Formats: sequence, structure tokens, C-alpha cells
Amino acid sequence: MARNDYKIIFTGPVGSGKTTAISSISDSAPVKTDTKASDMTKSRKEQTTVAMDYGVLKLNDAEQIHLYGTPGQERFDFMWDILTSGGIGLVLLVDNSRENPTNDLKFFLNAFKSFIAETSVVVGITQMDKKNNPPLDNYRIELEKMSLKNIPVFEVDARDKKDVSLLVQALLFSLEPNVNEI
Amino acid sequence: MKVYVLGMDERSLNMLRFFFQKFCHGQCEISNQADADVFLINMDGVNADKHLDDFNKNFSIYPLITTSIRTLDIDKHYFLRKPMVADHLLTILDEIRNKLSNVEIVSQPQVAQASVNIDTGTDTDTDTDTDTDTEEKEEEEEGIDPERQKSTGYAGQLLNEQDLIAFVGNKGDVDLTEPAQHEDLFFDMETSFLGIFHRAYLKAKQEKSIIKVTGMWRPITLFPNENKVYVDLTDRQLQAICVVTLKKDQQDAIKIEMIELPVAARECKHSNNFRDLELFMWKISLWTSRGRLPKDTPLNMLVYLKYWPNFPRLIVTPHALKITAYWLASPRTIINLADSLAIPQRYIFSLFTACYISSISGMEKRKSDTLISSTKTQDTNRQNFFSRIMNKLYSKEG
Repeated sequence: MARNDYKIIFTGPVGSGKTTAISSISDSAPVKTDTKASDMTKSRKEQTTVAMDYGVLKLNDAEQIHLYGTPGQERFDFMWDILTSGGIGLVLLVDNSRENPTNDLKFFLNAFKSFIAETSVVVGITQMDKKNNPPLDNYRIELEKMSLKNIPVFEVDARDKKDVSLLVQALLFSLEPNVNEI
Repeated sequence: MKVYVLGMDERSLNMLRFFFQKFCHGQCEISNQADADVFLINMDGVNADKHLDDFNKNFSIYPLITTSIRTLDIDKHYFLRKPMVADHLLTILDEIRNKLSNVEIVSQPQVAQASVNIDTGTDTDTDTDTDTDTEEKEEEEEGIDPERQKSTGYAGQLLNEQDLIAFVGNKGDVDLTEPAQHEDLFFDMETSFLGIFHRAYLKAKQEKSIIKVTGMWRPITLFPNENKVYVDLTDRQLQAICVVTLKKDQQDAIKIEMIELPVAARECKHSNNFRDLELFMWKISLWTSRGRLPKDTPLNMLVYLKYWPNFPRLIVTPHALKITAYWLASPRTIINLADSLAIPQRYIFSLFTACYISSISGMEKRKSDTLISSTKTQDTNRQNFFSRIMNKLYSKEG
């Protein structure tokens, strides 16, 4: 039987929780390509993703959803187009404890502009328990400025599978409100 | 149900505890005041009148059972004659439970006839369950109240049946175009704790200042700039407050006032009592609504949502994401949305109420002149595929 494979892309800056988020909902232990950080990312985390993360949601024998995490470092942005090809939508994670997280938001929304235009995006703000400023409203305002309306913006803990699950659910409902919940 | 007992000495309390365990089949238990669903006053105790006064002044939002060997006629309270009969007590508790959760009695458990003479003992300082010091010690020993702890963490868990009824009620659908069927569709904000708190919230937001609400319950202080509320009440107590209809004199006793930061800092000393304001509003909205709409909500005006509620930090009621997605896709009247979605109306009404109270929803002034058709004609392959993903995600949450 031919298998139908689909993709959901997780992106965001270094340390925003992409690898953790994929691990939270993946059926199998995710394939990680982390290595010891040797550049400016070292100040954010000891290990960083240099190629991509990979997890999977197996729906049945014939269908599975691949969960791809982009490398956070900008020097790997050539891979982003390859990864997004054929994707269902984008999960953008932003680390609120970074110096200027709304700039991070804008950077990644611009980088994935054409993919978002074809699909949709949800935004998960992480580390709000460490630093609760800027509040979610600031992100909503930035999205409005970029003419991205009605985008779900949630506070999430990437370690919590329910939080990550709600993000992905919101992505699906944004794309298709008439999804039947079984 | 948890019963807080006033006016009994330790020996009487032990007898009552035995009576609850032995003859009431675990349907009720003696608790401290903080966890109580209902108060019980022994009117034969020497300080009974004082306890009753204290109750009327400070705790009248709770249901009260008075008990005595004499026939009493204390208006508005439940009366249980001594010697206590288990059936009589359970009947009263059922009535109270139904009032609190708005649940109709489905079946009455079979309870053996039993009676017990509770000693009409005098009040003494040795009343263990009623001693404030003991309560504080218990709290210290048990650590932070898990109900309060929950309020700042993840709250979007799947709701069990009991929570579900408390949050969204169990009312059936009605014909929304038929006003004769609207009787139970609405609740009155003006006579509810929610209405009072909403006024305080709007004032706090508008003035950008700290607001204190006093009157019938322990003071509640709003810190709008920090998105926090200071409240020395458990979820159980708040839920009980939310289902009460306030009388005129009770409404008049409530004060909403601005206070300065030094005063607030002096009064709001216990860090465990600070909660997330957004989640607090959401919860009290659901507990009050229980599947109903605020009175005078126009059913034929277009409703829109300004943004997605922050669901991972709120109570996620059934179909909340789907309803949100529909309302964000295009403004729709409540009637139209209820027609379009094949889900119980109470889920729509509950979510609407929570969004309205949190200022997430709005209404367009013009009435809807055309009904938006259902989106059922869209790509069914994709809908089915997304349904399978959703189902997979739900199974992982469980």
C-alpha cells in the first residue's frame, strides 16, 4: 500500500524549544542532530541543532505526519525552503527571555513568508515563566502590522505535550475550521 | 460533599464523623472551612446565635444547614431535626448539590434508615475542626493548596464529567428562534458575583489601578498591570459563590474601590493567593454561565473575536478551538453558529460568555442580514485527514 506522508515544520530561534516540542508529541524518539555549541549560541544553550530535528506522528499504516525542526542558526537558512516543501503549516516558537523576541518573530515570519501565505502559522511563546514581558498582546500587534490576521498566539511550555498539541490543533483549525473532532 | 460544622464540641464532632462514614456512605464528610461546600450549625450549642450571626455576615454565600432538637424556622436555610436521620440529611445534601452544580437528580442512592443522637454539647475552645489556628496549621502541613497551584499552571486538560458540568452545565438545546424557549437560556450578570467582578475588572483596566472588592466575602484585589488577582478563596469556594443569586442588600454591601500600592502590599501578603487574572476571569465566567448566556445578549447580532484566547493557560471547554476558528474566520450570529455546528449549544454559550467577559469578543452594531452558510461544502478529504491528526493528538493528551 502506498503511504501518504505529510509534514509540519517547527521553527524559531536558538533555544526556543523546537527540539523539545517535537519530542513532546512524536511517536518515536526524535532524531536529533544536536552538537556542542561553539559560537554565539553557546550563551543560550550547551547543545544546538545544526541540521534538523525529526519526529513522527503515525496516524495509521498508510499515513504519517513528519515533524521537522529547522536548525535555529541563520547560517542554515538555505535548508528552510527544502524542509517546508509540501508542508501542512508552520509552528513558530519564540523564546520570550531573549533580548528582543518580537524581532525574532518578525525575522522568522519574513523568512517563511511564502510558505505561510500558502499554508498557515501558529506562534508559541516559550519561557514566559522566566520573563513575562513582552506580553502576548505585543506579538498580536506585530502580526497585525504584518497583515497576518487571526493567527493563534499561545503561551506554551515546549515540554508539555498538551501545550504543543493545542498549538498543532490550532494550526489545523486555522487552516480548516470545519474539522470534525472524533 | 464537604461539611463545615460549627457549634459542636470534639466528642459530638466525632459522633457526627462516625454517622457520616457509617450511614451516609461517604457522601459527605467533615471538612475545614476553606474546603467546605456547606455549613452546618448546631443550634442547640451555647454560642449558636453568635455562629449564625457570623455566618450571615461573612459566609452567607454558602448553603447552611441548621440542626436542633427543637423545630426551628430560620428562613432561607435548610433545617435538619435531631435525632439526625441519614435519609433526611442526604436529601438536603442532594438539593444543595443540585443547586451548586445545576444537576438534576438522576437517582437517589439507597441508604439504610439510621438515626443518631448528636450530643447537643456546648461550644468549647477545643473544637478541632472549627479552630482557625488548626486550619492554618493544616495548610502549612499540606503545603500549597493544589486548587490554587493549578491556577497558574496548565489548565487546558481534558475535563472530567464533574468538572465539565460545573463549567458548561448540562442543559439541552433549545429553538433559538423561539423566544418562549429562552427562559433558561440567560443568566443575570447584575445579580451575580461575575457581574460585580466584571465591573471591577473594567474599572481596573480603565483606570490602570489596583482595585479592591469587599462586601460579602474575603477581599479580592485586582492588579491589572501585573495581570494578577489576589484572592483568599479556593476554587471550590469560588464555584459556590458563582452559582449564588445576590439579593439587593447583598449587592448594596459590595464595594469596589481603588487602593494605593502600599496598602495593597500590606494586605496581600500571601504569595500563594496570587492568581493569573486572565484564567481567574475565564473560570468564574464558565462557573456562572454553565452553558447559558449573559442576559440581553442579542442572538441575531454578528459576533466576532478579536484574537485566539490563550488556550494552553485557560480551561479548554469542548469544541472551544473549533468554535473559535469559526468566529475568527468570519463574524456570525450566535444563532447561525449554533445552526452551522453540530455540537450542543451550551458549549457555544459558555465560550461566548468567557470571551465576552475577557473582552475577547465583540458585536457588530448592525444585525446580520444574511446568514453565512455552513462550510460543509469544503474539501472533505482534507477535513477527514485533519480529523485523523486531531484524533491522534487527543489520544496523546489522554
